Amino acid sequence: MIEKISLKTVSTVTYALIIFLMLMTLVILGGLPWIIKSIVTIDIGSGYQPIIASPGLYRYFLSFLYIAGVLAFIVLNDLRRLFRSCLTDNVFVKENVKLLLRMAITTFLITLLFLTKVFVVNSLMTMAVVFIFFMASVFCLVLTLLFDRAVQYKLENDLTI
Amino acid sequence: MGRIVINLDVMMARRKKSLKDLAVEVGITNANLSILKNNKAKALRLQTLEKLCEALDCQPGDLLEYEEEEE
Repeated sequence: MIEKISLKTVSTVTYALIIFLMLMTLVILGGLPWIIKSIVTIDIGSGYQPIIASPGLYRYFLSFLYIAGVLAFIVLNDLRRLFRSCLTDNVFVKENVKLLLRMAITTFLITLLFLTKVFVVNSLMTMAVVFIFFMASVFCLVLTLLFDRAVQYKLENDLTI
Repeated sequence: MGRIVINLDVMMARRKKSLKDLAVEVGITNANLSILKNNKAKALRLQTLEKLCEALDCQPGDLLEYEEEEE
């Protein structure tokens, strides 16, 4: 069944999706102050109020989401470069090992960022995001080690005459 | 710890064969034959060694030599 799935087709679709997500990230980052003011509300005990009612929290949310957005953009860009190499059939190269390591570090930084939110404004969703990004970071690290080994095998195979 | 040296250029000179002609006879690319000639190869298939011996009319010992690496 796996032979029927084309790497090029899957990579092309994923590449297009990543480009779309990158553009959405840029749009959201650009309009972040207005989005936070109009959407985000906080529970002050006696009910929900727009976050702008608490300037300190508003500034925290703004900076927090800007940093998270930039880190997410870096991860998406690295993913884009990884899938572009899949389109050229040149997957097992040293460059992709570096990309995966950078993705592992960046997703771990996002984990730490969301961990701060647990102590400021906690929610079930925040804790879920911390867990998900931590797992993503570990997964990227495993893939880094796997790809590194694969690159060694490929090099040895390429130099077997 | 030593290494195996492939004396391809010596045999090629003796048999007056060019890289291009030998590559065609053996059935490998110029690039791969060049890797072999410059001792950059990590491994050599027995099938390739057979074809090299056939094309150069020699024994494997004429092509392969063990060299002790100086520490």
